[in-house]
Amino acid sequence: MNKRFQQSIENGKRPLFIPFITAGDPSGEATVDIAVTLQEAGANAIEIGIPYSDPLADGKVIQAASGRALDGGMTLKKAMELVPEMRKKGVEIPIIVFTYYNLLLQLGEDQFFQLAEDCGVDGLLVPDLPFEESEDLFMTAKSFNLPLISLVAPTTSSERLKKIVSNAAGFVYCVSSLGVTGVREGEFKPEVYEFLAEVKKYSRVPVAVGFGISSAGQIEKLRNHCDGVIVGSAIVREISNLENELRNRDSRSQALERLKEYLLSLTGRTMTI
Amino acid sequence: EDGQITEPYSISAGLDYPGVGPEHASLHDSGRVEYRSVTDNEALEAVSRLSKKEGILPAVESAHAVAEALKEAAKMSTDENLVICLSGRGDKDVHTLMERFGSERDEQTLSTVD
Repeated sequence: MNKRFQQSIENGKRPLFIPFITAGDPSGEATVDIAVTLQEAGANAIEIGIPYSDPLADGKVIQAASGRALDGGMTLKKAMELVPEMRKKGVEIPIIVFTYYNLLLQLGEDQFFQLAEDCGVDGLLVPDLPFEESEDLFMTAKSFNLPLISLVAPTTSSERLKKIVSNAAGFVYCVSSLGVTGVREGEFKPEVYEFLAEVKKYSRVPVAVGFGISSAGQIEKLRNHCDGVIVGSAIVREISNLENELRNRDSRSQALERLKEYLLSLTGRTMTI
Repeated sequence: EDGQITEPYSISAGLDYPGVGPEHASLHDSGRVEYRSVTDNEALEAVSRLSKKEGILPAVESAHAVAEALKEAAKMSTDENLVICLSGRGDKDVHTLMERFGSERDEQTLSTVD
């Protein structure tokens, strides 16, 4: 397993906290500083979402973030080139690229992995590539020692779940509920806990749950059923509220402080740095 | 060029889509099928002509084929045959047609319907 993954994820304090942000929202420069803040707030890894014209797995919040990032000219390549900037500013936790398949196809899979190696990217997740179509990509990723993270959902059949989960690399991303990304208020359905138990049964890597997580209460309820949580829309929503302040270099540190307060209220962690 | 999907356009919903299925892609590449384009206006005119002449209301999507067929037929002799696949009905398109061909009376009808 990749060293950063080993340190922060395999050996990371439970529940793991894995935030998702859209690269280039509101700007590439802001994304680099946001990554530093995420680490300071206790993130075990960061998912960098690549903006796409047709984000079919995403709800309003991430769709809007994608739009803003695309307007600013963000691309898969440019997003990956932000990672060395993050590393220079002290970000040591694993960085996972979250991209829809067509962007990866256009860049070229081999080019992607070479760039990942050069830029210090530690993992890849492709939400619209079904497991059955992913074997080649999985093997290429393996040859570069970079995990291709698998997604499973409550709708995944037990047969497929067993197959996907027992072959999973990095961690298993469990989609908490039916539908697209987006904040969900209130409790998760009881079926989620059964689903997570099933995944934990077969997984040899940590199990993380995502989609809809937006409150400390939800995290508290989930923590004994999984190894960690992925939080996307709730954070992206907070970033969109701070859009103008984050864009501007003069107001950015203040905005980042407010973002950090929000993250700490969500996870209840103390600052690591 | 980065893989973002280009915004497509067509007046007909069925054709307002940026992708091409693998069967069509293969038929095009092998040369077995020739693909041509038709404008919104040509398609709508074809809806009008077919409706008035034959009493058949085609879907706007299907009317694209009618428009092209009419052009093709003009080059053919009367003892040659031409077949059109009329893929669907135009009931679903009446609002589009009212907007295009409608009169003042239709404007009133449109505003009271909702």
